[in-house]
Amino acid sequence: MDLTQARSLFIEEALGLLEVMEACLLEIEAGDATAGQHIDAIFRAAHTIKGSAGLFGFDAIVAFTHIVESVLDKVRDQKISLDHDLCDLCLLCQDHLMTMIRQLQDDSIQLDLHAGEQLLARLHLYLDGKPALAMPEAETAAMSEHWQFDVRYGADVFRDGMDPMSQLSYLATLGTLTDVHLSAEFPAEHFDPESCYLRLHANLASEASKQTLEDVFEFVRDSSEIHITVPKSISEQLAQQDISDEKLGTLLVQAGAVTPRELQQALQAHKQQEIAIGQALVQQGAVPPELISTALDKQKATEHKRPADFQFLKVEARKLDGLINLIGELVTSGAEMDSLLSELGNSKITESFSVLNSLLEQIRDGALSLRMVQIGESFSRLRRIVRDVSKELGKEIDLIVEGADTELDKSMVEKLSDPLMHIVRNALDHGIEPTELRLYKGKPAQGQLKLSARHEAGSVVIEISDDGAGLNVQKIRDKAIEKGILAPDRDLSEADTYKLIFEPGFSTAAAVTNLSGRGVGMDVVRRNIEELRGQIQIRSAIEKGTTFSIRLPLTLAIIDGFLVSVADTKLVLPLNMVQECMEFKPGLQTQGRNYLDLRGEVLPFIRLSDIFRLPGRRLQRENVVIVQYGSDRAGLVVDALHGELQAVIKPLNSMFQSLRGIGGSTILGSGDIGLILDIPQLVQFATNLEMQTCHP
Amino acid sequence: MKTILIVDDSISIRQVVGMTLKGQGFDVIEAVDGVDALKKLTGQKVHLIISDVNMPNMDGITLLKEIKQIPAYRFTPVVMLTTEGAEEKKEQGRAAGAKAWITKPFRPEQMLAAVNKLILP
Amino acid sequence: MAVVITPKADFLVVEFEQDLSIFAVNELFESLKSVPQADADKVILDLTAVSEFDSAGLQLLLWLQHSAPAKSFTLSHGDNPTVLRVLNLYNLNPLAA
Repeated sequence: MDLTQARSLFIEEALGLLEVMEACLLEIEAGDATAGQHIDAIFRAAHTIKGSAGLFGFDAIVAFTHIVESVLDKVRDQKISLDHDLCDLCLLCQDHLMTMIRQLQDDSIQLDLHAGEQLLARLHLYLDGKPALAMPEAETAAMSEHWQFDVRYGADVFRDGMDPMSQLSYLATLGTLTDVHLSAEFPAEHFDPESCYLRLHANLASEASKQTLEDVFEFVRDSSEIHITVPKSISEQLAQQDISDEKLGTLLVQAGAVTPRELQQALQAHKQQEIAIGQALVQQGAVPPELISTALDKQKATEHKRPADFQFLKVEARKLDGLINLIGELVTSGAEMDSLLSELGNSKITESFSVLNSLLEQIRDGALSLRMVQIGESFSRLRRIVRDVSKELGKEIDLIVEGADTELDKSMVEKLSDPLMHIVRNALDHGIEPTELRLYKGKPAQGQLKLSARHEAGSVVIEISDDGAGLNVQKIRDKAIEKGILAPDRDLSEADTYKLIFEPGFSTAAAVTNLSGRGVGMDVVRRNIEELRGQIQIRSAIEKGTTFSIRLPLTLAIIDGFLVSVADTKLVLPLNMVQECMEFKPGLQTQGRNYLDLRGEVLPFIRLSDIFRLPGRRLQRENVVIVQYGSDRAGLVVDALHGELQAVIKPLNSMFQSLRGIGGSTILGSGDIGLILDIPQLVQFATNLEMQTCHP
Repeated sequence: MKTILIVDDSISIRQVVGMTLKGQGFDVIEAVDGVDALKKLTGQKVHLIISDVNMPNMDGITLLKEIKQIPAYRFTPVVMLTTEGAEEKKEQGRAAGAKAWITKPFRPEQMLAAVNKLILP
Repeated sequence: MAVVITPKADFLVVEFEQDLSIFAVNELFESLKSVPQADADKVILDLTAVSEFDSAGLQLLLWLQHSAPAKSFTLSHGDNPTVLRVLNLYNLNPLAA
């Protein structure tokens, strides 16, 4: 994962957000939804695009989005209403942004700067009538003229296994080739068909840098003569200005007119013969004289933009989900078949079916893994944020990343990126102290930020820890009281005090900056995590640092389950949370309390028949399943253990969704319905129940 | 369809290269070392060979010398995969006739660019 | 044989087989040496069967044309995609009408 990939991630994300924005606006315009319902989503789309674009230095996008966001902010504050006209304007702005983002990906797209300015002017009417910000120059000015190539291929080119047409075809991918002319300079006698006598002239319209273009010939460079002439338009862009030789060289390299290799040669000549760099470059034939005479002023290094999108196939998530659903059905009917076959007792069919079944399992795993991505993607985006923010704040940060290859569901990774960004930003801003303060405290000048991810007992744990000042319980308390979040007379434990920072209205950044700003704060972080059915916890020690720990379930459509029963009800436990099973002997139980003694360890337990009020008399022989979620363990008392199975999770009917302790249902091989237990809830319930018993 | 032989003892390199190139319509065959590569070269037409330098059994430079001796492959382009700073190896490779190099670690698109500079898809 | 040369009434047909690449140019060159001295004024280069065509192969054709400036060459490619691709890339249309 590198910057190019991070960049294409940004583009993908921004396009996605713009689509959301468009859908919301269209619904409002059509009267299918009110502005109040959607304004947050619209605002957040603009806000996120602005923030991310800022990280990559796409200033034009930041400037434009900032104005859009400001107008949306007014709508959010109900200072102006999102009427038909404004909706229309927002849609136009959304279009314009779409073009700006697409242009990053595809050089051939033209951006109508004038239209952009008009939009800004119209937006300003909704603000306070100030003149529109001047739009920054478009990132790369299109070059009107061509690069000229003159390549005299060396005699050994063919024998070295090189084919000039491959390079020509590669050039064609970098721009538009024109005036290709192949000639051959044959000797008067002794033509050797294995020697190369070819000479190639070609013109190319491209915005690639000279380095990129020179690199096309990297494998024949040693054997051939290659001349690349800079387009006139580059020289025209150079303003008349007196600058020192060395600087001229650097600027020419930056402008893509000269490659570092050529500059190196020129500098050598400069030293040996005391001639000016410009002159040396002209003598080398690297640049035309006019180019040197007009010195470079503001020409930005032209970055060549080619999307690195060939590595991935973009598939509509809906199709993938459809496939996974089908495979789910397949697994279910496979299980049904399995139980039928075992009744039949035909060993040949059973054997053949078991092969089929193992293939089925592989297909299932393969299909599920299609949705799984490595969290490293999000982490590397954070890397850039850490770099930029630490630069902005003047803090030195050592970033440690662990477990970047931990996989989790793609949709989860997407929803995580915002909260992670906020936590990281927060840690850098408030957690890690300024360098001088750290030195004063005797800490290393470089602050440490650690991102880690790992799988743990059926969930994914992501931690962001810093070695900063730690959270100050008293300060948080005071601030919460000041903001009216906490009643002054309430006592809170340390852990509960930390949780206050997730309260709405607690963290409102004072200054409107590119990244934080407008109170998209820690409350949103918690909400995002909870939407993913995850939990966020804070551990902190004064002067040692703070750790944000996010625990997410591995929500998958199909799980490996463990089937148990209570009375006539079949229940399924996610296998990865099951630790062990044993017979529940009365001796295990602590008298009168819901504790059991597991080899000296005291564990809370619950009887599922009590929790779910399942009818049936208590059997002579009961079993207990020890389950673990995170660091908590509990025992679940059931009647019978039936063993492992694959369970396709069907969401519960909305009527039952508030049912605690049940996460879904599945159809068993026998055709019965099995209920899938929500272990985290049950573990929590067992722990709480026991605590209530202890402290009535 | 053009066929590319990737010779590397690392399965992950072979896979990444394989996936990248197959995605661009090349046919890819794999070999784990020089000896294996020479075996794979017989009986089929390979248009480009990508070989690691350091491998067990037969290293990339010996393999390159061997390839230059096979009439059907004496002009086949060979890309050597090398690590940063392995100047001595590079020198040996050059002496053996290596012209195209890719420095590890490389990104799939760098690999693809190098391949496209050498053969037509 | 990598190439079949058939003299017709007043022209010469040069029919290339699969390989018109660096691996075959030496052998092809030996066979083609006689073409510039041939009686016929017209030469038809038939590339229909070519499946390997590279710049070395193309150079050989250029050389043939270069060594027989008095002859008129016609290229027959039978819409062979391998050949058309090379010609398009180099912006070459059939060598001579």
